[in-house]
Amino acid sequence: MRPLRIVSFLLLSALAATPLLSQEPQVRASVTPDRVEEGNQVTLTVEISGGSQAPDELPDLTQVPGFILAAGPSVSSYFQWVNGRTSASRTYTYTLLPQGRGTRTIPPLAVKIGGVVLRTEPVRVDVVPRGSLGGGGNPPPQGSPFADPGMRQRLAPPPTTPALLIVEASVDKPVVYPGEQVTLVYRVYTQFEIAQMTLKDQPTYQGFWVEDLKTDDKYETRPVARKEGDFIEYTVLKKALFPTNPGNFTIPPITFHFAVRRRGMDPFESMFFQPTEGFFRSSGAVTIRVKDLPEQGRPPEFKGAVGRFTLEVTTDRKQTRVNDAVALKIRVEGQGNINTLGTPTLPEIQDFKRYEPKVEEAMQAKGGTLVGAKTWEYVLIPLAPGEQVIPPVRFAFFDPLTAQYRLLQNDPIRLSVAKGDLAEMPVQAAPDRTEIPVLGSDIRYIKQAAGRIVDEGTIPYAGRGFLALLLAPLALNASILLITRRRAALSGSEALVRRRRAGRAARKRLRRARTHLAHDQSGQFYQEMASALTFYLADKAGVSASGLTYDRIEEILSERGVEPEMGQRFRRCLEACDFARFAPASSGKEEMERAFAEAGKVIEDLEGKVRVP
Amino acid sequence: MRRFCGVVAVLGLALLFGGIGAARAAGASRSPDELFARGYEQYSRGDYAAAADSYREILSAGIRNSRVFYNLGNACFRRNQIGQAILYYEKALRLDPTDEDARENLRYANLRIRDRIPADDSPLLLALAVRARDLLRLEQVTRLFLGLYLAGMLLGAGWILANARRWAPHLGIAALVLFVLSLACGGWMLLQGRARTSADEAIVLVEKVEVLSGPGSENTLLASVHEGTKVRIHNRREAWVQVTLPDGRAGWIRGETLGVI
Repeated sequence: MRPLRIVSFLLLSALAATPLLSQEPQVRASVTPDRVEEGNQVTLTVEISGGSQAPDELPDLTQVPGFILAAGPSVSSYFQWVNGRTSASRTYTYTLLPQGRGTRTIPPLAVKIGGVVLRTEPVRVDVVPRGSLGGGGNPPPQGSPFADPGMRQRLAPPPTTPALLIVEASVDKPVVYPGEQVTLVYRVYTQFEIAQMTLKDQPTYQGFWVEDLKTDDKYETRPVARKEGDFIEYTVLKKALFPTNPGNFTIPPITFHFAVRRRGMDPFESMFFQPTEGFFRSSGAVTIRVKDLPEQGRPPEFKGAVGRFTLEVTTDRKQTRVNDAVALKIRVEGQGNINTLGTPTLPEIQDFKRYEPKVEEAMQAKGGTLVGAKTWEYVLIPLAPGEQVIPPVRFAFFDPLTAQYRLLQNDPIRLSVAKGDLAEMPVQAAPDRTEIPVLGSDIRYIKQAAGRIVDEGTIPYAGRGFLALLLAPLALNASILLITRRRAALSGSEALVRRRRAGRAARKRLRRARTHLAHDQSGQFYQEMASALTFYLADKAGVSASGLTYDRIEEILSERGVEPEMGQRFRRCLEACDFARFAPASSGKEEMERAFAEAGKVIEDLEGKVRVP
Repeated sequence: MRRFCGVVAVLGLALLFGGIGAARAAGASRSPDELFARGYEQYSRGDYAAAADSYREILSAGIRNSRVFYNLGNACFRRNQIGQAILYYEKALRLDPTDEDARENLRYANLRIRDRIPADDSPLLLALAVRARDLLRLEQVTRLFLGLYLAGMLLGAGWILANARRWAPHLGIAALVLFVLSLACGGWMLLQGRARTSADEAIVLVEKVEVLSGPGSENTLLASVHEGTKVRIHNRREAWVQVTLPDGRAGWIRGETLGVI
């Protein structure tokens, strides 16, 4: 039993395999339908026949120009063995969405089977404008959705016309300025009951700032009449686009997958199941031209805001104290892209410390346009007391409706800043002090007259008067010098003579005294003696002999460096002479001899001892 | 002898305070003070051309005054005559080197001229000396010199008369110190006087002037200088002036394009 089964299996396998291996594989591509309205799908079938081998490599359909791959591939195999003849095929089905209008060609597709590359024939698809097929083509009307009596009642399409499903993208204006809002709306027109709708992939909007306008879950629905017939219109997506740069931009098509309800002819089945059928639809591409913003009349404060705005600047109070913070609120409100609003130009505020602002923004869609408000809240710390003025804040925007720039500014805000409490003032306030800002430069102002306008160009020392002024004191000093020298010379020589002759004159007087002594004339003798002593001293000292008292004599002697003992001797000698002169009775010859000898000795001893004054 | 001292002192003081300002200019047809006040009023109104005319009228009477030059420089600056403005600021500084306003405005006006002025790279000591020279006006330096000189002379006379008194040597040293100081001051005075009288610098007054290699238009064009540039004058031949440019190059310029400071 067992061997028999094995044999029979082998036999069968051999029979089955032989023709398969011998048959050459073939590939064929076909499209249904080959004529399609814009936005509708086509089905591409790639059939590999004549071999059960699976292909090593499938054609890449993602890069076919002019088509979007919406779904696929789905595979189905077919194997038949009839009367010793076998036929086998594999079918790959793709759902494609043709783009644009006209004849689109699917190029030869390469399939690699068993190391051999096979190519299909090119396939042509005619894309015709919407409605030109009279609603023909797809979706394939197998299992007609018109089985739904309610729908038929609502739409009441002509019974001969197959149902339609259209996706459309539209913008409210094709030419805009950068920053101006463009509203992009995706609408679905349907004659079916749509069970489910999914976005195939989220489209990218290059060159635009995108804000979603639709917020609620429910679609706007309304019946519309188009030239193709009556439809239910669903507004499925609404987006506000803000172009960022000038140029031409294309918004790529969007593709939806729809599941539409269909009811089988069997009312029993339709009671429990709601069979659906899926197919793809894509919108057309939309081109937007973005113009350059005009150069003319562009204020320097313009930072790219486009729309219509109002400016409001407030402070939370008008009176404050030094170091007591004041909140300065700048609020810009209006239509436009609030997110990208640049900070309004806040002027330099002197005597205030300013912190980075706190920014708040709020946006909402209002009647299809985005409106909102952006707030910058600055904290200002007054640093100096007095009436302070916050200069106007400037905000410029471009109004696309009038195609003109507008500059908003508020009135200056006056703040009265009272002196802060010294005790409360933080010591750290000092580092906040700023350099005195340079606001401008100019030449210094002209001068007013300080006194008379006189010629200053002269050289003060150039005149003769000046020279005279220099020479006069010089001459004066020279003459003073001359005169004093001369006088000194004169007086000097007189004294010298006297000094030199002092000794001789004294000896002469002493000789005369000796004569008087010989004649015993005591009065004359003593007088001669006294004058010899007195004149000797006067001559030596260079002083006048008259009026010399004893004290003065002693003073002169000590001034001229004579020893006190010597001075005493001189004084005693002179006193003795004077005494004897006025009392003659007491003087004898002997005494006169002794006085004479003493006087001679004193003069002799004094010689050379009296210094030159 | 005491009488001598008294005579010298009185003579010195009298000359010091009375003698310097003795030679004052005689009054013109319209008084310079009136013209000056009128110029001020015209300038304040913004009528710079009229103000400049008023100030020029003062100058035409032969009066050289630093304030007049300064105000005239401002009027010219306002009329965008940068060359003239620089010339008059320089003239004002010649008469009054202590005028900070004129110095500042000259610096400001020099920012507006086309030719680049090479940075002042004179050695520090020289720069300090020039600064010191400009600390006082010539009149003040002259007064200082005379004061020192006469005081020195007075002390010298006292020293001579003090003869052999004990304090005589102190008097002599003081006189000597004062005399040496007065000599230094005299040198300062001469230096300033030379700076005031030298006519060796000039300002280009026309928008652009050509610098040639010789006195005559047939000579080679060496460079061109623009309004406001300061040049140094070396030589004159007929209508031509030999100058040194700020960068050190020399050449000949037509004299009427220059304003001598």
